[in-house]
Amino acid sequence: MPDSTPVRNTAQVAARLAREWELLSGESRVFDLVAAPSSAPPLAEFSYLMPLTLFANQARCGLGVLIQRKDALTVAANMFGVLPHEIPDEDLKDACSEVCNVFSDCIAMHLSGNEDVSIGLPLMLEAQNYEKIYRDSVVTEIYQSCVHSTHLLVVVFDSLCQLP
Amino acid sequence: METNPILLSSPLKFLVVDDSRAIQAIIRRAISKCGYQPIEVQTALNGEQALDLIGTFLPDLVITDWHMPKVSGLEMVQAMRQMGHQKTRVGFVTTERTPALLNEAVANGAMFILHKPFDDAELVAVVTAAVKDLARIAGDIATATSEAAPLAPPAAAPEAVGNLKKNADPVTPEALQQQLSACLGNLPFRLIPHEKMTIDKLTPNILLGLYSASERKGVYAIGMLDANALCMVGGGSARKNPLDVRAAMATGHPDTVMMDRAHDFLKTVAECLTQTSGEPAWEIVLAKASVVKNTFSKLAEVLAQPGNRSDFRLSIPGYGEGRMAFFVMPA
Repeated sequence: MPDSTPVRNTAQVAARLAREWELLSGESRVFDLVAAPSSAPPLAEFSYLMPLTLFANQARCGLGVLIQRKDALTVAANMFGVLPHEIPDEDLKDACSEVCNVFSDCIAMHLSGNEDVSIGLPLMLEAQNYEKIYRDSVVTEIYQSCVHSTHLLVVVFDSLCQLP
Repeated sequence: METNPILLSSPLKFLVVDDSRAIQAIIRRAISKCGYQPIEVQTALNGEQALDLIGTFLPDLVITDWHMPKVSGLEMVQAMRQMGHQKTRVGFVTTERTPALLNEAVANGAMFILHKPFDDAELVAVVTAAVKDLARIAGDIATATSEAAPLAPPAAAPEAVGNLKKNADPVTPEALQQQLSACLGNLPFRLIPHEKMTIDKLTPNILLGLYSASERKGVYAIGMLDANALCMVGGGSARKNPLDVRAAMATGHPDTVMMDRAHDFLKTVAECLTQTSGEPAWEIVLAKASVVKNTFSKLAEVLAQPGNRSDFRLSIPGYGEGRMAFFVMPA
């Protein structure tokens, strides 16, 4: 966790995530802060991890974005400008990876305050690594958006372990 | 709301560089909403692919992501500049916020840096702003020449403009000699009038100036300096070393100082045009000037124009030779 962690404005983060999701998907929805469970929340079909590094102390942090198929179809259809049934899985992955990229800006500012942050490239989270990453890292916040029984999660890693 | 497209005489070319095909699709849509036609769009998934494309595609504007595998957006732009593509316009769409890095992008000529995610309208606005002068030149010449259309056959000169007589020189050799003397100081030069500028003699890039007259709609006159004349006038005015001027002439890439000085020279030619217009009340000014490629299709039409035109060859010992021409557009 960074030494000079600013006061966290979680309401602001939730609002920004909602705005960013709306710009990408065209869909208006609410994000809420939920307590981070001790065990990893279930991995979604389209799950990505973005590593971040704070310039000041080289601390590693990051975010995970867990997107279920229905939400993946919504966001990809809007980004590609096509109907959901026309989208191949490769394009769903592409769109969800970009969602992770865009959300990383919001989370990077949230974690770093005014410090500069080095943003990496999104990595697809795989089941065999995901639980270990969750267990070996520090997670204090999870933002969740539920619509029609689909769950979209943004997991904030205050400290991110070495990736397997 | 759909609006009529702005028809251009040559396509505006865009290169979209992003490792996300979804973002490529969004940018493509924004480009198509800018309202220009025709346009050509090519895409690359990273900086390496983009660098392979730039040399052959010669885009007017490169819109690039920052964080990409292999070669980042900034590295790609830096390499592009080193490869000699100094004038290629660039804009970034990125999540990058580090001030030092953004400053570096600006130092490498980034015309805009738009943060993701963006509203389509925001992207349309910055892309339109980045290319509007290129598009406007095409549009203005299209308007000016369409007003003249159908072009009269060479034997039949167009009607006179204002009090300017048919086939009269819109820029007299004496007046231009005077302006060049003021511009070049004591640098010796020779101005050879009536050597017609033709499309086959053009250098790859041309400095094109559009003049407006206060009492006339549209473009009153067009001035053209080929790349050699641009470097010679600009370099001579700035008292540049002949070696530097010749190097710029050889590559066809004048530096900023040469560009600025050549632009200033075109401004002074407005006075020559005012003298011959026969309309002392008219205020003739250089409305805009930009470098265009010699493949710009409307150039051929303008160069084929009979009637009110003045063509010159400029020779400066130690520098070389260049050509310039001025055309008054038929009313």
